[in-house]
Amino acid sequence: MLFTLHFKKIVIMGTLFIVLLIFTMGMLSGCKKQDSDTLVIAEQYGLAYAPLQIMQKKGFLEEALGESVEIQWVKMGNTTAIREAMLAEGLDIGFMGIPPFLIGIDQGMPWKIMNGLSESPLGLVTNDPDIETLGDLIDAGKIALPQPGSIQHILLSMSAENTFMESNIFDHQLISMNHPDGYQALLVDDTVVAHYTAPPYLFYELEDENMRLLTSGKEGMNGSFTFIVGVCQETFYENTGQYAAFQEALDASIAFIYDHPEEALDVLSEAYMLDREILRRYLFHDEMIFTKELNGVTRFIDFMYKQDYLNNQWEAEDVIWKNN
Amino acid sequence: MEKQLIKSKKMLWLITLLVLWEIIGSFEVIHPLILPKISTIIIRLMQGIVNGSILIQAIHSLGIVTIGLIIGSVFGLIMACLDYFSSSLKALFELLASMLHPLPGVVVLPIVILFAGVGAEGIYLVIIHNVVWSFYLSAKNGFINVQKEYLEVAHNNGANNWQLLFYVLLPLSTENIKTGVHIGWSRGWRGLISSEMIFGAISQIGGLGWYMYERRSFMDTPGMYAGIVFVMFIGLFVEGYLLPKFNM
Repeated sequence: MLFTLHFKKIVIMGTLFIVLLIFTMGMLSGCKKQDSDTLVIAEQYGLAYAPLQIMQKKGFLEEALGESVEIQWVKMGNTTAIREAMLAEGLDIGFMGIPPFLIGIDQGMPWKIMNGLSESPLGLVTNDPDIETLGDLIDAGKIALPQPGSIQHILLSMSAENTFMESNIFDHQLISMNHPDGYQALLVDDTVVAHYTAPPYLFYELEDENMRLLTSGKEGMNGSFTFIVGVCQETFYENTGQYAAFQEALDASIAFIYDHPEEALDVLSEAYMLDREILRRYLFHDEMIFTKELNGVTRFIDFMYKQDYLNNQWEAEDVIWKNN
Repeated sequence: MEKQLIKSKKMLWLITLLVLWEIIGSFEVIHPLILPKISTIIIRLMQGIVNGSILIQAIHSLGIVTIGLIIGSVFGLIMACLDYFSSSLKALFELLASMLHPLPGVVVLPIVILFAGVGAEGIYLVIIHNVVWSFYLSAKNGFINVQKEYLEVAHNNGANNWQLLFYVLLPLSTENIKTGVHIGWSRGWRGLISSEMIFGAISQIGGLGWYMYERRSFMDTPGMYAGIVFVMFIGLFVEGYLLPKFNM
């Protein structure tokens, strides 16, 4: 043992090493936001988020908050990413479907719903001429949807429960894909035979004469329901000034779509890179409703609790912030 | 003796780290959804093993990687042989290997999906890609390093190319071929887990990668950690026990 260090030296070196480690970790997680003068909001891609596009482009939030608060918009690929970013305290507000929100609160995420954002048609589409009913889909190939536990997955389970009394009958056929990839896969990939999706992709697919709707979200839920909700943790809820300002900006954004439809179409056709007239058809579709009203939270809880997606049967008022 | 000492010190460190983790976990310095207690993770892992799901998924993944490893190794070996006897093929393979070897499996995934779809074929292609280049390079290295004297003896005894290959080149490069298997296994295993996380379940059973992806989607953080621990465990098991058992 020629180069054995003395015990004392080992302790000193070890301490230095640990200090360095902690310092590095502190640096790496230093991008966390904690201060109240920036507001970070996460959304995802889709027509159901249209009021948020309006809010960004028309500057309603800046107006309501005043100059002192910096606003950051981030677009995230899926709800898991939003959930994790919020847990790491890098986010104030996130927008998502009700089921992934419920899975989060059930696992101990300290968050609740602030408001609804939109109702929207959702549906399972196939391009396989041999598949005419849900029964034909069993073991016929892969079903693309955003994620296990996503609203699309839960709605598919609901339809499976309604039809076969077996909610997980399709679970081994799932493949995780975001909406554009799923649309692409349905078009070109023979292994993917169905896609559970949302507008605008749902509309693209239904306008294709080779594709058919197998079941809709409405059928699964036995009625209409809120698609996207806005969610925040307690820290932002207690920041009453910013909370109220955000609600005010959201009211203004939703009202703008219905009060100034032409101007809204101008803004949104640019944001979504969609033709104005096509967008008009999509945005003012019967089942596309932009509203802060919540619809269907209890139905989601009941189903997800019964099928073991949730461990607790939550009361609706325990998962929603009281608006003050 | 020295080796034994290092081994016991490693054990000591492992226990220290685990205890430290448990302490940090129980004080909830970090939110338990970010870092659960190690005991919670171990309990979840045990549940997974007893219920059978994680074990069956792991065996499924191991089966796929074994088949991919065999196919990739055979191709790599054939390439190395052709490389040895033909200079134009040598140029071609060296060019391909220098371009493709550095590409991680995840990078070729989009192309694989276009060609083979998201089924089992795609996963096999990714594994084979991960295995074949490193195996080819290892085997080729082995052939090059065979001492000249042996080649001359073979030549003087009138050995043809087949005989040269089977009696001289292959037996004298077993060490390099073993290395090729080791590197191929670890690259193939990593490629499999990452493509499972992207492809999703490729069969009724799914694989370990999908298990972790699913647990993450359901915000079951202990379950996700359990998957990671299991991947680690399988790596140790194969490299430390299974491969040496087959004299690799």
